[in-house]
Amino acid sequence: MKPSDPIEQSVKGMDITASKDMHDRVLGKLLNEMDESEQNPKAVNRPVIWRTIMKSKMTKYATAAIVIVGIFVGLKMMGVEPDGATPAFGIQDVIDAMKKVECYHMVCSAKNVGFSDEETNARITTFTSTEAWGSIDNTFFISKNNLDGSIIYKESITDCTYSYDPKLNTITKSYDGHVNENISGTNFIDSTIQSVEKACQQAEGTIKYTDEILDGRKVKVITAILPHEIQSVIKIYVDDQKYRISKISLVQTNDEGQGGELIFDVDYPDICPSDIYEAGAPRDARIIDTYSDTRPSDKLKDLLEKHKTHQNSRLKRLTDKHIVVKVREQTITPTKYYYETKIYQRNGNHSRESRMAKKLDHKLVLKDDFDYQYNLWQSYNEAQTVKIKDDIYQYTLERVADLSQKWRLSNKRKKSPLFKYSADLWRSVISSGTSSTRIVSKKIIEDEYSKKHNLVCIEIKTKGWDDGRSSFIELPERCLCYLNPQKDYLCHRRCIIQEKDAPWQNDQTWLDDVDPKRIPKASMHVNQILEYATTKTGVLYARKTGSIPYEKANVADIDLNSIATSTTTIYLNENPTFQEGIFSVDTLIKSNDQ
Amino acid sequence: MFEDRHLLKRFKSGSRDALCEIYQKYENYLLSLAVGLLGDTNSAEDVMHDVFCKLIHSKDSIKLHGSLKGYLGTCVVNRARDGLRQRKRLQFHLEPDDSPADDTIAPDHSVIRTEETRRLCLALVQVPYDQREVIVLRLKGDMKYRQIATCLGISINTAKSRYRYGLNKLRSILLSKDDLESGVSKNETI
Repeated sequence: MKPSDPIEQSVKGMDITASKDMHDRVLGKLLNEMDESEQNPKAVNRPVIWRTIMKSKMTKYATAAIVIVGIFVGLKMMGVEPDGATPAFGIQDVIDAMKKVECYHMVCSAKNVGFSDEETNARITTFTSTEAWGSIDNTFFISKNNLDGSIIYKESITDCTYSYDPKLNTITKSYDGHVNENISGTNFIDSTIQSVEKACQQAEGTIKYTDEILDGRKVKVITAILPHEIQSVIKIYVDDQKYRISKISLVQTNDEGQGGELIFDVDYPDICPSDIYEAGAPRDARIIDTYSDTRPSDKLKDLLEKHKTHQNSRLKRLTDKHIVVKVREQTITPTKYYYETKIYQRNGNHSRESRMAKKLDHKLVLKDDFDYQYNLWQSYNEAQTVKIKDDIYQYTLERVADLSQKWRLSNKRKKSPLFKYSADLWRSVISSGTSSTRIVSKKIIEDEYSKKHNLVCIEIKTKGWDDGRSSFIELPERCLCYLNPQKDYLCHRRCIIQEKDAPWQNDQTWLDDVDPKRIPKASMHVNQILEYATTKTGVLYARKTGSIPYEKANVADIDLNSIATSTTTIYLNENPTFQEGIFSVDTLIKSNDQ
Repeated sequence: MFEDRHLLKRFKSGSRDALCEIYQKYENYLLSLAVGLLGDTNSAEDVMHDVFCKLIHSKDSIKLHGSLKGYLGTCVVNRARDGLRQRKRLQFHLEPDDSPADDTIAPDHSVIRTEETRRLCLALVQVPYDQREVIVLRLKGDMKYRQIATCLGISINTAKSRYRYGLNKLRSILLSKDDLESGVSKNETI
């Protein structure tokens, strides 16, 4: 084999990943686009072909049964051309009928089932002792095991799962949601579709429509034969008049001749159990609330609300005429310094943002003054990108990178987002971008630092995550956000510790199969507001923020400004005079001729 | 392939979740292509946005003959080329990051996460565009020469030769003086 070129390897290994900001920004805009492009309500297309692929082993039949029910309520099918004449009824009729169902009841039984391993046999026994109730829209799901008396009640509205253990006479209440780990999403139909996708792989099969007699009554039967490593035959019996599913039969046989048939008899009661007690759990069962840490206490909710609203503390509350110069300085190495400057200029509905970045081998000595900073970065004239916004469009202009350094209009777009000012640590508390299923706990704590500086500390622990696609996994994280009650609950300090062996990562083997190159180093990272300021109009903001070496973060006596490895400083002019044509694209283009 | 076709079907019927899933699934892949082609994260973001907007507005008429990944990748290539027609040369821009950066991997990630990647991007933009396209599509897009040839409307041999020349050019750029230093004099004080 020809050895791989190191340049090729380097390019292939280029680490380019969308930041959370970019992800949220772009996706938010796309969703808005989609909403606006929707002219008509969603229409369920009549599925002409059906290629539902099942790679479900016998032990997943309970899920499969739910999936099958879900399939017939809005699932967009792909599949095989029906074998034979076009049937007088079709899947769409079943879908329409099932949509009107409020809840279903299902009882599982088995025929001729036999596997060589005890575990599979045991699980099948469990299934065949189970009956289930559920709503088509997945607002609730109940599973009851008639063999041992255990009950699971899942309620999507509150996102709670109640599990009754008859041996201990306890009901465990959890908030991590779904009974079936494969199900995600708020809509049962979409969630069952996802479940199918995870359980399926492509195969070719046939589908037939027939009429049969079942228990003395006429039924329509849809039969799907899916040959694969495990031969599967799915038969769905549909009431001849009402077109509702009355029975599902799943037959699978492996190469060794092992398998059998699972049968789900479905009916549609007028009333289903409304809670775990009506499903059979005794009222004297002890409640165990094991995941209360994921639900914020009232105190924490109140605190977060204060932080969120922070009436006087947002740069976005500046008057609509201002200039903001935001300068970031970073010491990369003892001989390499990085400067990034953004200048935001706004006059009513017109605004302009310019950005430049420089990397130098010496540190610049800068004056702490608006006029100085504004004139300095303007005079460098090295802005590479300028965005200008008017009432309708956002224009992006870029420099041509030759000696002429002329401006070119590279993009013009409608409905662009507001420029972001973010000069503080808001996001760390309001939205960490972490899904609720990853958050292990979120609570107010007290530590030495919070006590010493009269701050309120919110501790958020999250589990690690591997989406299987990103260059790096996300390590378990402990985030400490110190809110300052004296400063409108601005987040004064944010401390983040990431380590792969965090004790709250329940599954300590989660990295066993992960490429070590995708596991980042443990890190500790502290951002802090170094200086507060208030504008003339009373807006309190973080004038200067810094990244501080963790090992020095608790040493209060040291001048924090001198030890920060990276600082961002805001310079404001709240009543500026703008140059003529500063918000004009034409003016910038015409400057090319000067 | 099955999953993508199913996703697309859901998307075409108006599912926002499907749009999110498609975007989530191919976001980094397409971003890698766009940044590799344009050397500019801002422009790359614009390209991503435009490609998906087009997808949204033409969803009723889309007919997928190959994979969704390939389709979106081709859209990015075409859109990038369109954008480039308005420019003669490229400059390299760093991803705006409102939170202070750090040498370790911080929670708020930049798009271009390592110095090495940054260096490669800077070098890549100096490779002639037609050669750069092939390099990016082959190494970041995981495409074979046949697929690249189809995407770009060139012969397989042309694709191979562009790749070879482009790689040599890239190699020489990387071995020469570091282009990241700006031209500010060491003696400059302000």
